[in-house]
Amino acid sequence: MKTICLYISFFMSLTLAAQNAESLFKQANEAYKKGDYQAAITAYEKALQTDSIAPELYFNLGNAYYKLNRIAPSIYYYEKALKLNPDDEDARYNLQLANQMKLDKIDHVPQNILARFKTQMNRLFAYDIWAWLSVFSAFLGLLVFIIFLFTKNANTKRITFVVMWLSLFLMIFTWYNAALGQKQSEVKYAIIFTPKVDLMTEPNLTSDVVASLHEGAKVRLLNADGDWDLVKLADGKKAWIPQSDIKIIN
Amino acid sequence: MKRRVYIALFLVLILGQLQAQISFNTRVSKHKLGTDERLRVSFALTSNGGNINQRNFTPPAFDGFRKIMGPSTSQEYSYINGRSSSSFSYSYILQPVKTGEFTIAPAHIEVGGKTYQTQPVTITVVKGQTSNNNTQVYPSYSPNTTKNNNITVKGKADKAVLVAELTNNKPYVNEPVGLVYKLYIPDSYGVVNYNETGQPQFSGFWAQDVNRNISGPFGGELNGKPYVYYILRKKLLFPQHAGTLTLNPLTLQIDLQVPAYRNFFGMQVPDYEVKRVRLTSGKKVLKVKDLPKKGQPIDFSGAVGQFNFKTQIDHNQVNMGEPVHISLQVQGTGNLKLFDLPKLKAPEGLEVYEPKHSEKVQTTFSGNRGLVQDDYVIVPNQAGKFIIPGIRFVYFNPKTGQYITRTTDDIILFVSGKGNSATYQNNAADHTLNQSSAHAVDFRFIKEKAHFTRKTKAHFYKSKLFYTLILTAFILAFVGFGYYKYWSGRVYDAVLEQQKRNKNRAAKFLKEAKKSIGEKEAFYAKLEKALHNFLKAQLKIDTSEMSRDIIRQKLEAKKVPEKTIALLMDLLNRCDMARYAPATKTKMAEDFADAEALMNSF
Repeated sequence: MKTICLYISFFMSLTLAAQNAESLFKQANEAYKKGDYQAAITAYEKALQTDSIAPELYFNLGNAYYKLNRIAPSIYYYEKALKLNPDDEDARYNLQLANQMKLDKIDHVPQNILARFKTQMNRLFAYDIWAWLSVFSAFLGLLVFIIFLFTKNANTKRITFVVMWLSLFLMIFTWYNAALGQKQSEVKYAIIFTPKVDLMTEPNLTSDVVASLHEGAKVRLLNADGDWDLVKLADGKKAWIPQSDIKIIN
Repeated sequence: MKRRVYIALFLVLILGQLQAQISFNTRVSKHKLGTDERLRVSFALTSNGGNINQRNFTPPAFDGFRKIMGPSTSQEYSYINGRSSSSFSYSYILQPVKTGEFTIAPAHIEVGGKTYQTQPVTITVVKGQTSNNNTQVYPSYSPNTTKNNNITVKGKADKAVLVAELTNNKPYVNEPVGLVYKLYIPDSYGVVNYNETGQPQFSGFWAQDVNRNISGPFGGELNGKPYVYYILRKKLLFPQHAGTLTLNPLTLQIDLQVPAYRNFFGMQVPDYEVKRVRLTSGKKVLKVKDLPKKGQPIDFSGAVGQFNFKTQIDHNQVNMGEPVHISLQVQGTGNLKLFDLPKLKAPEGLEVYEPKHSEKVQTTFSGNRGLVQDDYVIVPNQAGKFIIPGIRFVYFNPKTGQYITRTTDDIILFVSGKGNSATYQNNAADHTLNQSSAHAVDFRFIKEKAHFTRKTKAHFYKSKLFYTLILTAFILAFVGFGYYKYWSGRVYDAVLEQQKRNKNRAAKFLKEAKKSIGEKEAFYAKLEKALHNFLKAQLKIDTSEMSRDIIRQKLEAKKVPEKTIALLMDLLNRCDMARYAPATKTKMAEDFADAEALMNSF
């Protein structure tokens, strides 16, 4: 009885929190439509404080910041929206517009066709979906295998034999994609929030400057060491950056 | 008669005028002096009307003073605009005897039968020297003891002094310092010839001329004495490095016209003589302070002075491919020509051309005044909203000793996709996206509906459930395979059993048939059963399938020789026929032998 009560209250709170986020979201949208972007941002960020989240929330927040010409937060929230929902064409489009505002060159990491195909294929599904597909393939294989064993019909036997091997291959393939997707999701990126920042060879201010980046630039996070983070630049160089100058997309 | 009256009137007028124009005054070199100093007193008679018939000059008794020299007389004539004027003066040099206040009593003189007298003058004598008044004829005081230590006086010549003045002798690097050379001469002197023999070298400085021409004379004072001075040149110096910088002196050789007296038949006749003098301004030492390193911003480019900084854009909304003009302007006073303007940085979608630099700078004594400007032309080659970030300009204000950063506002530029897109080039990577944005800056609107989920979402991949499910599939496969093994094993056994049973039954019926040779009905019935069971066992067929055609097919499939098949078929026929036809014992024995041979032949 006690556990049932607990469950009920838990789900109640969950729906309440969702409602709260929902109403804040609506309220923020109204402010946005009136052109009061600052109020919209305040409301969206309040919605972020709740424990429910939606990619649309990030997208709208990115829009509000874009309207206020705030480069870094605009890019940051579009990236977050895309991380949550990589298929969001609108977020991808507006991110491109936001990226136009930044000073540093828009970096295009050169990828060969095969690698590009691989990443595009992987992006088809979230890695959990890939994992489910893997489980599905395993059970499909199981089913087909059983049919193969017990059928007396030679044709059925032939078809089930082929399908059995295919589903085994499918299971491995989807598993691989799940693993790849998960690895990709663990790669962390960060957006630079200060107007200009020097990237150093060592985690201190007295070392040499590797490069200077401006607000809105995206760097890949490799390692964090206290107040300094090791990042990888678009050209493959590694450098240290003060943690206070960046915001990690997580 | 009338004429006489006129002449008389004229004479009266002239005389009246003469009478009115005569003045007799006492002039003293100073009103307050020390006991160690000397006083020059002169009684001057001036007249506007030609010769002065003066006589009976009576000097006063100089109470409290000892007469050192005098009286010396001097006479001056001048003729200006048809009017003559003359002055006659008696001068004395006096030495005070004691301290106190003394009055120089009036002197008397008789001019044209009339007696004139001067006004009494009061002189205060104090002990020693008066502080301000230096009796030295050639002033050369050290900078340390005087208030105005920018002036160094070093003149070796008769009262003519060449002075170099600096507006500031402890400047910062790049802080403009005004330098002026002044030539002081007493007002009774004149300069006949002027020649520069030594030019100052401005090593360590960036020097600019403010004024190269000699100007003057100006009234001035040097050491409390009235002088006139000429400004020889004005310069503006920008020290280029810290430390002690020395300016070499300017040296001049001038010919001065000096008043003098000539003894002409026992009379003192005033005259001028020309004296050649070498003057030097003396070395000037500047202690140049380095700009403070502490608090120096990284983007400081050496600007020192007081400036304003601004950017201007001609329009904020343009079409793609249309040029935009942005100007960066520094206005103020300081080393305007000696620093670089900050560079404008723009996002990738804006093409920035090299700026056109222009200067409108006036060189003044307090520094360069005016403005320097960089004009940029920017051509947008992508549509969208662009931010040209605010530009920082850092300068050092030497007055306050602080670095001042001026940052302009961000410039926001809206570029619409219409218009000339000839210069537009795609980035290969995001071809499609750029193409769509090339037509219009359509910004995707906010989303009305949000699909909220819980923030902390447990992932399925690598979860226990995931592994359990995969493992379950494999375990089930193994279980299935095991069951199949068991099941197929049992089916196999069942077939073998049946075969064995059929074989046994075939053998049993054959045996019974042998016993019943002679009894036609029983023999052929048993033989047929034996053959059937044999075929069942051999061909794995059921009783229902028993037909001649199927048997033939199966046998042919088993590659049984045609002869054997024919024999079997013949035997089966004979079994059928024998029921209705008579059969001998030998015939039965023959058939039995055939059947036995046939069954053994498989």
